[in-house]
Order: sequence, then C-alpha cells, then structure tokens
Amino acid sequence: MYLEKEALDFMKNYEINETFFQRFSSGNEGFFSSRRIGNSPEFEEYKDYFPQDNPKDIDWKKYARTERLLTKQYESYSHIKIHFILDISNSMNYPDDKFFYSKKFIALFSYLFLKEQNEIFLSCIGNSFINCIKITLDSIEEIFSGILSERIFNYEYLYNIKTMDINFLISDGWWSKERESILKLLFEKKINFIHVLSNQEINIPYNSILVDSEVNSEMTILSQETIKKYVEKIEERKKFFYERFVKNNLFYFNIINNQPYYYSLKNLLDNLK
Amino acid sequence: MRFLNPFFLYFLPIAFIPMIIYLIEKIKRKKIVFSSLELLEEILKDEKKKFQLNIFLKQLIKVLILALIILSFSNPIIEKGSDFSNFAVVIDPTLSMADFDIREIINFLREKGVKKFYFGNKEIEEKIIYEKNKDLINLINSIPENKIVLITDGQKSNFKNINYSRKDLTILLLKHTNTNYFFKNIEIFPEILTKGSELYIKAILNSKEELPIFVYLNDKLIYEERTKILEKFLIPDQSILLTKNRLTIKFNTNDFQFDNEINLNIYFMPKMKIFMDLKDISIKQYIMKTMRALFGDIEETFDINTANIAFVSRFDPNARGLIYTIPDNFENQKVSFIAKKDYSGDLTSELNLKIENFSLKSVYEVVANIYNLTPVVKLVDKPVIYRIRDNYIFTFSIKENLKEVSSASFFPIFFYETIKNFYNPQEKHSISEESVFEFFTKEELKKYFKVIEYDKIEGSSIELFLILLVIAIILFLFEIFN
Repeated sequence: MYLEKEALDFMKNYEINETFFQRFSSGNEGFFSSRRIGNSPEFEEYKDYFPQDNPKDIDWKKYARTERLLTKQYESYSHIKIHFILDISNSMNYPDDKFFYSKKFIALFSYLFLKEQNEIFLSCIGNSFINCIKITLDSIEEIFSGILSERIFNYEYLYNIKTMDINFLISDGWWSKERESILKLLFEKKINFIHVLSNQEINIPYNSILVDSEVNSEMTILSQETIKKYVEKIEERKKFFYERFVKNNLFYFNIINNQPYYYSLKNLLDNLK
Repeated sequence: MRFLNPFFLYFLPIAFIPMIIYLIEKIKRKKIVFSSLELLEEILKDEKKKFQLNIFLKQLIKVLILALIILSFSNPIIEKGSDFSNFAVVIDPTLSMADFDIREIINFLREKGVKKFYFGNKEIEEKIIYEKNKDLINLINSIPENKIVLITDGQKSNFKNINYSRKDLTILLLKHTNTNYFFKNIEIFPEILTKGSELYIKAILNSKEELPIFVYLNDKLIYEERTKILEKFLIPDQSILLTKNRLTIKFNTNDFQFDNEINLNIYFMPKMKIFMDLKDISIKQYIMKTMRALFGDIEETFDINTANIAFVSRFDPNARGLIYTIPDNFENQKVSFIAKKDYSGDLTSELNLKIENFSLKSVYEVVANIYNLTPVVKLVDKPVIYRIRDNYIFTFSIKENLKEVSSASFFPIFFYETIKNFYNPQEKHSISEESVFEFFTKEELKKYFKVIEYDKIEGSSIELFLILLVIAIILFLFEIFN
C-alpha cells in the first residue's frame, strides 16, 4: 500500500473542515464553482443571477417581491477541485529525497480530500509536462508510484496549467533566474506554494565538494562563515516567499523532511485552522 | 644571514602543518550532489568583491606566519662587512677570558677570512689555557704584526701602556654577563705570628650563596668548608715556616675567575725582640703591653742591632729595622684627636715586610693645642703615641660610630689597611660594562682605539627579530580579516 498504515492511522480522525476551504475562498472571485453539486446543500445567501448560472437556482418568489433575479447560494465543501502541481526536477532528489517525501505528502493530502468527496488532480512539471491526472482513492498507489523525476523544471509549462478551485505547487523553489517569472505566473493563476526543503539543505556538511544536481557545477565549502551566511540566506528566502504569497492573497507553507510527511501535513492543516 | 639560536630551526617543519592538514582534508573531502548551488554562488560572489583569497594561498600564508615566528626565535642576524681578513688576531690569555666561548669566536673570525691567531704572543694551540697575572699589554707589544685585532674583555689591562705607534690596533671587546664572585671583605690579624698566637681570618663572599672555600698554607690544604663567611681558625704549628709563609684562600666556581683566589704573606717570629730607648717607664709599659697583645711572646733586648722593632726617642736614619721615635716631652703635651689625611710611602723591615707605595688610611694624628676641633674618635684608653718618619701615630682603643675598630695598638689597623691595600676587592655584583675597566672607561678606550663590541659586530639581531615578528603579525591580521 502506498500510504503507510501509521500515516492513515495518524490522520484517521482528521477532517478537512470549513475553515480550510474558507481560507482559500476569501478574495477569490468565482471560487468554488463546483460547490452546488453537493447532495444536501444548505441555503446560505442570495446573489445576482448571471447568464452562466443555472436558471433553476433562480428564486422566483424573491423576484416577485424585489423584481431582481436572484439565485440561491448553497455552502457545500464537497466536490471541490483541488490541483496539485509537483516539481519533478532533479533538485527534488538531492541532497536527500524531497521527491519521494513530496509524493507521499500529496498522496496523503489527496486521500483526505477524496474522503470528503472532493476531486483531486495532479500535474507534474519537469523536462516534460504531465497535465491534470485525476486521482481517485483506487489510483493513488498506481499514479504516485509511476511518477519519476526528470532533470530540470521547465517553468513554461506553468502557462499551460489548468487551474482548479484550489491549486498547490509543491517544489523546493530552486528556480534560479526564472524565479520572478515563475512567481508572476503563480500569482496570476492563484497557485499556492508548498515549499519543500530537506534537512541537509539547511545543514550543509562542512569540508565537502557540492555538485549542483541540475547544472553539474562544483563548489567546495571550507568556511564556516559561508555556511552561516547560507543559513541566513535560506531564512531570508523563506521570508521572501512568504511575504510575496501573502501579499497576493495566496498561501505559502514550508515543510522540511526532517519529520514524517504526515506530521508535516498535520502542521500545515493546523496552520490553516 | 646567520642564526644565533639555530636550535629553533628544528621546529621549522611545524610551519607546514596547516598545509598538511589542508591536503589531508582535501583528500578526505567527499562529493555531495546538492539540490542547487544558487544561494552559495550568490554568497561567494559577494565575498569575492571583498578580495577573497584563494584557499590554497590562505594556507600558504599560515605556513609563512608560523615560519616567520620560528625564524624570529632563531634570532637571525645580518652580517655587516667588518673586514678582518688582513689582521692578525690576538686573544687575551688572561684568566678572566675563560668566561667566553673563545672557540666560537675564532671560528667566526676564520669564516671572515682571518688566518693568523695568537694566544697572547704565542700562536694558538689546540688546548687553550688561561693564565692569571699575565701582562696583556707587554704581550701585545711583542706581536710582530702591525695590523692587530685584540680580543679582550679589557679587564685589569692598562691600555695606557700600549705602544701607541700601533695605530692599527682594533679591540674586539667582549662583554661579561656572568655573576662575579669575590671576597668582599678580608681581615687578617695578626700578620706577624709568634708561637702559640692565633691567626684570625675573616673573609666574606659577595654572594649569599655558600661556596666551597679552601685555605692553603704554603700550598698545603689546611682548611676546607662550604660557607659564605670564613672566620677564625688556628694554623697548625707543624705547617708554619719560619719567617715568611704563603696563605692562599680560594673557592671554586665557574665565574669570572680572576678574583677567585687571594694570596697573603704571614710572618712568623718565634719571639719578637723589642728595643726601647725610652726614659719614661710608663710609656715603656704601654709599648710592652701593646706588643704582647700583638705578638704574644715578646722579649726586650738592649741591643738595637738584634731587635725586630725599635722604639727610640731620637730617630737614627742609619738604623736598620722597624724603628719608631717617641718624643721626649710626649707626656706633657695636651692633645686632641682628629682624623688625619692618608699617608703613603715605602716601608721596609728585616721581617721581609716590604710594602711599596703603601697607603695608610684612617691613621690618627695628635694635633697639639687645637681645642676647637671636634674629635671624631672616642678615646677609651690612654694613648701611646709613636712617630713614624715625620708623622705621629698612637696606639689606642677606639669606637668609631659605636663600631669597634681595634682593641690594641696601631698595628692591627696598620696591617689591616696594608692587607686591604694589597687585595682590594671592589664592591661589584656582576662583571658588566664598566666594572672591568680599571684604567680607562669604555668610552675613553674608544677615544684611543677602534673598539668594536662583539655582540654588535654583526648588526642588530634584535631589529631583525622584530621585523620578522611584525610581518608575521600583519599577515595574521590580514588572514583574520579576510
């Protein structure tokens, strides 16, 4: 089984609640377009009718009183489409396995959504592009086991990403010169960012030759001062991402693979409470 | 460049330790594939702006810092070109020179091209034996060469007597740094022994350290003790010779050995014969009393020619022996006592006591009818007054500054002063700088001769030491702030 028993047991009593969805709906025009498909919708509020709305939702009694075409709004958190976009570039494999960790993380996250009758889609960006695979409870193992890493992260595929109700990019954020272009696209497409870092990435081994996983350049780290500066830069970088995403009403969360992936997921969900 | 402490050069390989560590670390270093060097490149790019040194160069600087520190401890010196190649080198053969490693100096001068070496006025031999009481100046004057470098410490040599026509004499002056041991104060009483009389010797070292002291009488060891003060002891009768005896006091140290030995003459008279041509019985009694106190067994003789000491009321210039004149009207004189200036002259007697250029300090003179002078000595006993040549001398017991000087006649004072004059230890604690120059000060010596101080012959080693240290410190700071 792709998800371990401990992970499922750990999240057994955990449900993705309304607060979670409300966090992603605020300021998001046209959000939750799929919500009305629910089996037992609860009446929430009225809104003006637009041509794309279903005419069946028009409240004719209200029209008789107010002469306005109003449709009934229902709050339902099932059948929401959630889209995970996974960075499968080689940097996700090093210095220790963030790729495997991220796949497990998404799989467990998807499992929680699927339990709540939501729809989950997965896209992968590397040298090539895997677009919107629909994930079901039955296909979790097959899909996630089959995803392999590739050499680089070709950000141009982000242009082709079809956005859903909630979108998450899972990446280590090593985008080099393309960083600003990628951020611009993420903000435009309302894609949230789950920033994965590895423990070794924060604690560089002293007196070692580091080889870049994507461009194969080498560097020897001999000075403790350099390591100290590097740690400071990492923190600055996390802060930078956080501030930029918050400013754009998007969600940023940093996870580190020094703990089991289900702990990281729980932390993320707790953070959204 | 030479090194005065080459021992430290053995530590030079230590300087390469940083480089060895660096190379070992380099070999042990592992390659790790890392997600992205993006941030690290950014950091190093910033550092390069601050003149980032190559890591290898940094190790090289560390090696240089250590090497410079070690080299500075080796005390490097830069040789200045004092050219002695055309000179004959004369080494002072006197005992005080044993203080120096003369072989090292000879080797150094050989390297500088000197071919001819004299030890005194003889060509140098394998074994160097220093001698005391050698007259260095006579030795130099007998050297055939005209261009001479004299290696000396300048001690006890009267350079005033050097042949000044030798204008090419260069003095290579050695400097003593050892502590010098010597007898600070020597008292011996009496100098003339009679049968059964006790010899009193007091010799005090200038050091608080106890040294083995040996006393020889006529080259036979009669006393040996480890001490700092040699005090009263009896001379065994069987070892004493009639008339003149040689008493040697010495101690063994490795110091400046010229002062380690003193020789004194002791005179032995089985019975002292005294002639007194004096009318006054009371004076005669005083003289007898004094002489007995001095010599123990005495005998009055009525033949001046058989007397050892004669006391007469009228001085006879043709008389032999030690003769003292006493004025007839002595008893009627009213006197007060003041210190007299120093006396000097020659003194001879049939006891082989020949003292040339003797100087007699603190001799007291009776000055008649001068009552307004303040006495400087306190009279204890009634004085007996003698006259030596044209001067009055008296016997007394006095206390000067409440310290007893003598308890008998003028003789103890006289002999004490004589002995002190014969061996005149100076108040000095180490042989340093000027203390060895008796006839010229070092500055005066430099006026007459070309004087080179040996420790400065090769330029200032201290400066070079400091220069190396300063460079090392600058490199160290550079390394820290880079």
